[in-house]
Amino acid sequence: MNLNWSPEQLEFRSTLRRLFATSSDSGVWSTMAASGLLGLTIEESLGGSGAGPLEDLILFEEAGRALVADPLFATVALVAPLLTTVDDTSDLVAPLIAGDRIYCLAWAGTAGRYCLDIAALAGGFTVDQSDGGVQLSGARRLVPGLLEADAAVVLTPGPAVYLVPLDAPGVERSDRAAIDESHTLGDLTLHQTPARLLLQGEAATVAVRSTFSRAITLAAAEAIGIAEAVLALAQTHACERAQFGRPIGSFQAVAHPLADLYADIEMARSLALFVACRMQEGAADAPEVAALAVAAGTLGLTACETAIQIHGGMGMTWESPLHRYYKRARYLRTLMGSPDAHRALIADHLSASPMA
Amino acid sequence: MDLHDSPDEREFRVRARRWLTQHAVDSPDVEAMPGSADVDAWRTWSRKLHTAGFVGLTWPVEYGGSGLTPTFQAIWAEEVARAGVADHLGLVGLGMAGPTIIEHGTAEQKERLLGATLRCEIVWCQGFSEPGSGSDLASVRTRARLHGEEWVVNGQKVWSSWAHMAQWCILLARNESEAPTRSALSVLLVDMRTPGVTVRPLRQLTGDPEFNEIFFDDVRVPVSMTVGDPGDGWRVAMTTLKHERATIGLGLASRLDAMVDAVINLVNRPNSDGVIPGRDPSLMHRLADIWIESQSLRVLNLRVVSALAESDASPPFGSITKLRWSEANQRLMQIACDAIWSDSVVAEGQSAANDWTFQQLRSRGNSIEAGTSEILRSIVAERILHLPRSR
Repeated sequence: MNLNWSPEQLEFRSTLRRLFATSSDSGVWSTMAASGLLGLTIEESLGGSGAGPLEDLILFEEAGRALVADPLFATVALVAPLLTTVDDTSDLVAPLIAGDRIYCLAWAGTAGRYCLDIAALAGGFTVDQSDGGVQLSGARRLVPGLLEADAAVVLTPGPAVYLVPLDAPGVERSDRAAIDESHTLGDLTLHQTPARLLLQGEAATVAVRSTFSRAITLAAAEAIGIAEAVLALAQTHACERAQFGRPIGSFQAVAHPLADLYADIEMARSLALFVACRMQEGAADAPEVAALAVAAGTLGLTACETAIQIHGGMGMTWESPLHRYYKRARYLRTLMGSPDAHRALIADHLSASPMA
Repeated sequence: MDLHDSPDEREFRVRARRWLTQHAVDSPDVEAMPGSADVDAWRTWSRKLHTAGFVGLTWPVEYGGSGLTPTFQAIWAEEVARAGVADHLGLVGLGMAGPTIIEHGTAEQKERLLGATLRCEIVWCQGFSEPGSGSDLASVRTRARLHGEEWVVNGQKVWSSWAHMAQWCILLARNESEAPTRSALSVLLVDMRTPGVTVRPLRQLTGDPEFNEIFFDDVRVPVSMTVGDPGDGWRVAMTTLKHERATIGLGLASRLDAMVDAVINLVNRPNSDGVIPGRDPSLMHRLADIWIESQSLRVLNLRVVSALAESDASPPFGSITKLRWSEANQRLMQIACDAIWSDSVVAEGQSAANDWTFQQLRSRGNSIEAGTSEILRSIVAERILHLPRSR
């Protein structure tokens, strides 16, 4: 066994860190496209770089650390794996890799569940077939990346996966002003909008399940990147800020929560590496992904809360970057799904375990 | 990265598993604590392990070890936990005293003590903590006065597991008449049969006499039994503690995995009150959290041994293993006691479920022994996060 990063993976991480540190918010998308990052894990025959889940993990951890704006997650984490499952979608994949076309994913959420849960596919859009074409109707709240997107991939009960160009008739989009200003959210309404069928039946179920597992893992990677970024800010502050004549980091009441945060990060990172390795071999089991979702969904928020507390009044200001990390962590947690729902899944798994 | 065993690792795992399956019946009771264990049976078992080639896996070949990477030690720990058998009796010798002698000892010390430690002819105890020196180890007051070719040792050590059955003690003492600083400490190897050594068992809150006090009353120790130079004891002791935490770390994740499995079985059966505890969703959520923690620790452990296979320096994240294990194990034991509910108040020997009560009481020591959680957090804060030193 070997759980060391390879020299190439370490180099990839430092390249990304430099790249994100020197890119402006507006320029980062074209920089990522030019560097081949949008097609990082897309197979080479489709024009991608053919990298694996571990490189994916590195990309999203660094994106989280740098608060890289959407539509990276919407396009690369949520849509690319669905598009590449389908035969004959090179017309859709090539512009994604080049950064010329932005996609978003609209999955059903009528049950009020926002998370990436295949059970949420039970409602949402309806499908009409007529004149040899397919039309979709229905609505989906809070679609990440909708406002910038050129096309939406829409999941319908069945399940089936459709592509909807957003300049098609019957499309309505409205801005829902996300608390996390580094990405956008919009409500999507379709009225008899023409759509292209990409996947249906068992193939759709398999593709959606693996896409959601993967996306949860990448959201977790972002949360880990965020936690590391805010820990670094808190470390610096604890060393520089002096009260009672000494740096506040010398007080154990300040130092020990940071030590716990360090431990939380390494524990969550261990799970992320494990899940990525399992995906590299084929697929991770649902309880393994659920474990990561609980750990990272909790980590993102508690890391920011610890960092805000350590920063004192400064942590409460708009000027400090901490609130941006905090709001992104909240968004990622909602995507990954409620920790309690994931715990319930694990509990079912434990109850069903064979007796020794 | 690769989660799977290499061909060599696989071969070793298969060999270990086959041997353990064949010989598990000879193992002493795995739950027994040092205070109550059948020492003769355990010693016999330890010798069998040695003869079969499973002892001193990471020790250099020249000292009777197998010269393998810590990965193999981790595989061994997994297989021992899986088989539900006892490991070698001499964990203090194999994991702490032995490696310290290998790193700092003289040729004579190595010749005399290392092989016998592997063969379980010598069981070691550790004489570090004192009534007045726990976390602040550098303040130890046990005195070693140089008298010709001998140290004369006076003082008291405490919390020494195994001391009642140990042949040798690795002792941290202060050189007489020097200032109370770290540079005045020496590490001595003391034969426990030397006149003036008295061991008194200490009863734990579990009722078991697991650890001991050791009194040194004009105990004469040859100067040749100093490890490293006189006055260099702090550095030598730090080697011992480094090995202590590494040794413990390797086995902990496997132990927690085995305990989680045992508690899963426990909660899925009716307890003496006729209740199936696993039907309570909130109890199962608590158990799910520990399962997550044990998964994380297992992978963290693999990360540590992977790093050690590439470099001798332990990776920084290795220092959180014991911290997280102890707190997870404590919460797991609370879940077990909540699962057996009424039986959790019944004294030992009165109920089949009372092992859990014993284990729960014992688990409170997990966050104290081998470095308190507070000290471990301070180590992370100062050495990894580089925060200013706290007092």
